[in-house]
Amino acid sequence: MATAEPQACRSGSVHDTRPRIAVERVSRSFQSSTGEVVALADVDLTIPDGQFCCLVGPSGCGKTTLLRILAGLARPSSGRAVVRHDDPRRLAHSVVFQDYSVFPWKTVRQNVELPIRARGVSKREAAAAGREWLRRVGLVGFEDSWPAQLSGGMRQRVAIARAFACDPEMLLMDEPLAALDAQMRLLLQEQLLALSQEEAKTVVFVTHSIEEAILLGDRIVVMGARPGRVIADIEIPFPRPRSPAQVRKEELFGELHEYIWSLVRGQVEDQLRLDKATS
Amino acid sequence: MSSPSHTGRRAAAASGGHDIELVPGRRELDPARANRLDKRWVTALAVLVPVLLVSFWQVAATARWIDVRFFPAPTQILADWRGLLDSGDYATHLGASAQRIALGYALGAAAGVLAGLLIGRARLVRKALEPTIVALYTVPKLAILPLLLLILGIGEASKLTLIAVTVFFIVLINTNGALEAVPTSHIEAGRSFGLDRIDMVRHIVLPAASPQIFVGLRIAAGMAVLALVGAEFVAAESGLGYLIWNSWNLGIPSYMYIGIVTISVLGVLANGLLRLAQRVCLPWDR
Ligand SMILES: Nc1ncnc2c1ncn2[C@@H]1O[C@H](COP(=O)(O)OP(=O)(O)OP(=O)(O)O)[C@@H](O)[C@H]1O
Ligand SMILES: [Mg+2]
Repeated sequence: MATAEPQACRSGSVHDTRPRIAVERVSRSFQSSTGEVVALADVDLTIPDGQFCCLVGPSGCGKTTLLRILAGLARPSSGRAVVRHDDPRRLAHSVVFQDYSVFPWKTVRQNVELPIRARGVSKREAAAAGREWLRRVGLVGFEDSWPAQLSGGMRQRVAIARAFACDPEMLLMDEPLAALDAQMRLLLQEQLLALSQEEAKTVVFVTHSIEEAILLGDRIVVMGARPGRVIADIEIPFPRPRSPAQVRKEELFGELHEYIWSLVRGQVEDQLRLDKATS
Repeated sequence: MSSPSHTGRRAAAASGGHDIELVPGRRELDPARANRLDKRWVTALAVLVPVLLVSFWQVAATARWIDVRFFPAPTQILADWRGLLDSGDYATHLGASAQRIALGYALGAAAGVLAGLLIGRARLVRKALEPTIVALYTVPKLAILPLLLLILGIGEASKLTLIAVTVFFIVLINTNGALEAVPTSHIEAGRSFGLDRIDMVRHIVLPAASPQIFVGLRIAAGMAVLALVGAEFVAAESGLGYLIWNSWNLGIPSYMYIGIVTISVLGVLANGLLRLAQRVCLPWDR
């Protein structure tokens, strides 16, 4: 059912202990006129079922590339990635993209219902699930609007509702909040946190905001650039359910933030030096 | 500084003794009224310009400033039109042309969109056919009329085919271009939601491409008229093209003007119809 009962705390499947995602020595390179770019080099990553895993790292370190491989939209150049798919009637994953991918020719309602209907769910059930999810992201009253009539934040909420509503086994999100203003971003962070705590789903979440990663994630994977690789893997110890306000008050929050920033900062500085050397 | 004398924004800046005052204009004070006036003016002008031109023509013809053997007075043309109407010839010609263009256009447009979708969705087929399509598109379609007459005879089939072929290639090429321009993010979103091939076309590709497809449909409508008139000039016993061509033989120039004006009205109507269809089919595309 698309609108699963809210669960108080997140828990993985009891029956199956296989990880949701297993990435083994995955590399990906791109050929271009200026030479070869190694977007990913020998990445290993195991994500257990039900985990909210954040990917952070400097621009160009291969976060989107990794996500696209997990989504089946691109293939590794070498190595392999295994994504668990338990129920063939459900989608293995749905994706919220970096740029808006809400369809402008469909109303808000039609956008959210499309992937549900594509699974063969009846019209009535799809409509019910769509309504429920639009309510959860606060878009009641805009069901029949065209995306062009919405604000950027509202459009992104449509994309989020659409990804959740088709009830995939896993969510892949690529900077879903990046294009929003600061206030809207805080609001949607809270909503995303609440949603992810109600739905015990595996989430892979790419973000540039370290703060966002700490607030939302069970774990933060820090990536480095040139070549793209994993340079740190950090557990976030704050218990769930949690709220952004609560987390921000924790002493550990500041320390974590500083630590992860020092890692990313080193990467960014390396990159700037490299850019200067090559230009 | 003085306080604002009426509602609205007022700002002042000192720049060497000359303050710049920014206040609402007539449009800002009563936008509804301004729009109404605008609309009235635009409509009036749109009607006035052709009326003036025709009046000038009438005066020039009456005063014999122009040679009425080539430029008969509008009143004369109107009278001859009455005659054509009464004899039923006008209806025959108009009916024949309208039928040809409607059928030929519908056939060509439908086939063009369909073929464009099929070819556009299969990369290998597209690469294989592209040069051929471009080559065929480049051929002026009137050049194949003799061949069509040879194959299909002098009847309706040859004229319908000519119009359909003309429309087909324009729509096909525009549809192909439209498909290429569909943003990958939309295609990938569709793929990631597990849409099958048919749903992909129905829910993503076709709607995303349709604004551009409509552009092709509108261009094709103009070219269809061209093909129609060309075919009727040489290979028809009826139709507006025939009426124009034959008026030369008969030495009745006003029939030419009747034919030309009717054709241009047909063109305007077709364009309006397509615009309406676009607005109805693509309510999201504003
Ligand atoms: N289709 C492609 N063709 C060529 N190079 C590509 C392609 N996609 C990605 N790359 C290169 O691979 C590297 C990683 O790109 P990717 O989009 O995964 O980075 P990212 O971590 O998502 O960056 P950002 O945070 O800016 O979104 C970049 O150097 C990019 O130039
Ligand atoms: Mg990216």
